[in-house]
Amino acid sequence: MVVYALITRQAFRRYLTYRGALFGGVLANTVFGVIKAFIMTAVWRQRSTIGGYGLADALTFVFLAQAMIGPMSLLTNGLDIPARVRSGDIGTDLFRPVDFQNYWLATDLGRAGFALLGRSVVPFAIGGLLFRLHVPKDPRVWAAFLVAVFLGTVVSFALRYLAAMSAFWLLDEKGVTGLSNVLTSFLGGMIVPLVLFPAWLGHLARMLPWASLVQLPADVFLGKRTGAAVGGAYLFEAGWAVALLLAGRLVTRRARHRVVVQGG
Amino acid sequence: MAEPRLEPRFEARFEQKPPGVVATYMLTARMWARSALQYRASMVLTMVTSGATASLELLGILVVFGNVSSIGGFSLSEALYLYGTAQAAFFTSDLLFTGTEYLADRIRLGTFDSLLVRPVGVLPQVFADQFTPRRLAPLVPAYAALAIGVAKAPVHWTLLRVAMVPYTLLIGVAVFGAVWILVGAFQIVAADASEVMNSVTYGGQFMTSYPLSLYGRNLMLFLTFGLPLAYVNWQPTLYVLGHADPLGTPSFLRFAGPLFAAALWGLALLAWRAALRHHRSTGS
Repeated sequence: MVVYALITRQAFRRYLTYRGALFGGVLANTVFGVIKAFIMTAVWRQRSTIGGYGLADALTFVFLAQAMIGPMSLLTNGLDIPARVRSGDIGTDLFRPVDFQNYWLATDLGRAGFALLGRSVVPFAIGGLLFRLHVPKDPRVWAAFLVAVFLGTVVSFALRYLAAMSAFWLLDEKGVTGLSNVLTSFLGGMIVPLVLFPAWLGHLARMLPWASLVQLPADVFLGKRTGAAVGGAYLFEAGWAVALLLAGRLVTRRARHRVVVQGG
Repeated sequence: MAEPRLEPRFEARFEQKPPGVVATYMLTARMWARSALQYRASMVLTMVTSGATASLELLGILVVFGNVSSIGGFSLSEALYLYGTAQAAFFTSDLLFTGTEYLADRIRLGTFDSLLVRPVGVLPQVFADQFTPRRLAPLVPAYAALAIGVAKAPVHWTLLRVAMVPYTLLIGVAVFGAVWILVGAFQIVAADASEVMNSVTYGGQFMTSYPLSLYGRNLMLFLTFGLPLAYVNWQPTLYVLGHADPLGTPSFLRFAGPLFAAALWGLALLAWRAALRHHRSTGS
């Protein structure tokens, strides 16, 4: 366990180096959040509530989604596995005396932790300055929200891991990771909040793993889920996390048998 | 000591006129396209994802209009027309000029110098850098939205209005093209913060896809008279669809796109030249 904590810390520090990229990311997440907020304002101006969301709820959802882009890597795959498969460095990773999948999970959590501090706080704060958002005052809600974000980050890793592992078979993973990003954008509520979906699609989307990313943490944050329903959200997220991590484990085993590392 | 004598054929090549801007661009683009086409399966898959990604935004608009019948005074068909012009202009400019986005990598790796020493113009080489036919894919949903908009929007089509459609795209591509040059200039000066420009390029693409009236008076003023993204599609579209400008600007501004585009190109080229002069190679 200690070794994974150390890996997480190293990954955190690694991303601290790229300050220019960080600034660009924060700026883009903020600008897009503001544009989306203007669009949602125009929609809610015509209907005061849609799917149980008022305007403040919808705007809060928008800026929460923007804040999650960094930690959950919602727009890109964010894992180095494919590049390392191509370069052959993956041999080193497979040879490490730690579990391969857990190694990458630990790395990704370090990246996510850094992104949560570096890329999430500012866009959400600026959103809060420019628009009226629904921000909970109860610290217990914040704590419950952060747990949901953590679980959502693990689900996001498990999904991206599966897509990245396709590199063992395809060498060029861009098609698969691209499709995975498309699904995340749409079913995760990045394009439009899930409450705007037609009823059948909304129900379907809320049963799929992508609901763990923004929708469930947002439901907790907005007070749409309280008490036992928060536990239900955790169970949902943890259930998908375990199922997808197990699927990743299966894929990893097959990849191990497949891989041929060249060179010497 | 006698100077080494170059082979006559090698020398003769430099006596020919160097290729012009368009020829350089075409040569470079063809080279990159051939390289990209070496990986057919990967090319097809990435084209599918590029097309799907671009279609998602369109799907998003349809989802929004499933809840309301208009946005900012624009009906679905009008919104599709506006969206189509923005996306078609952006992705056409992306196809032609987006090579400037890769400059930061070249600066970091020191490979920008290999473009500088060639006996042809730098800018056309940069425009065509890493050209790939994949960039054709997002044009499909863009022009599809535009076609639906043209067919369904309640427009009284006069000859002038018909002519305004290709005119809008031309000016849109020109304005975004100037933005891509600014991106290139910025990348040379601040390679570490190259992502900053995403807010202008992709942010501009996103902004112009919706009625500018959604963004409030101050932002509209900025986009009309500051960074003139209003001329990508908003101003000419107001004329085509017969909407009034919420800013109350005089109607000649609907046709002022070429002026603003030319001014932006002038500024961008000045910035580009300044950036080139600023460039110090990283080589050792």
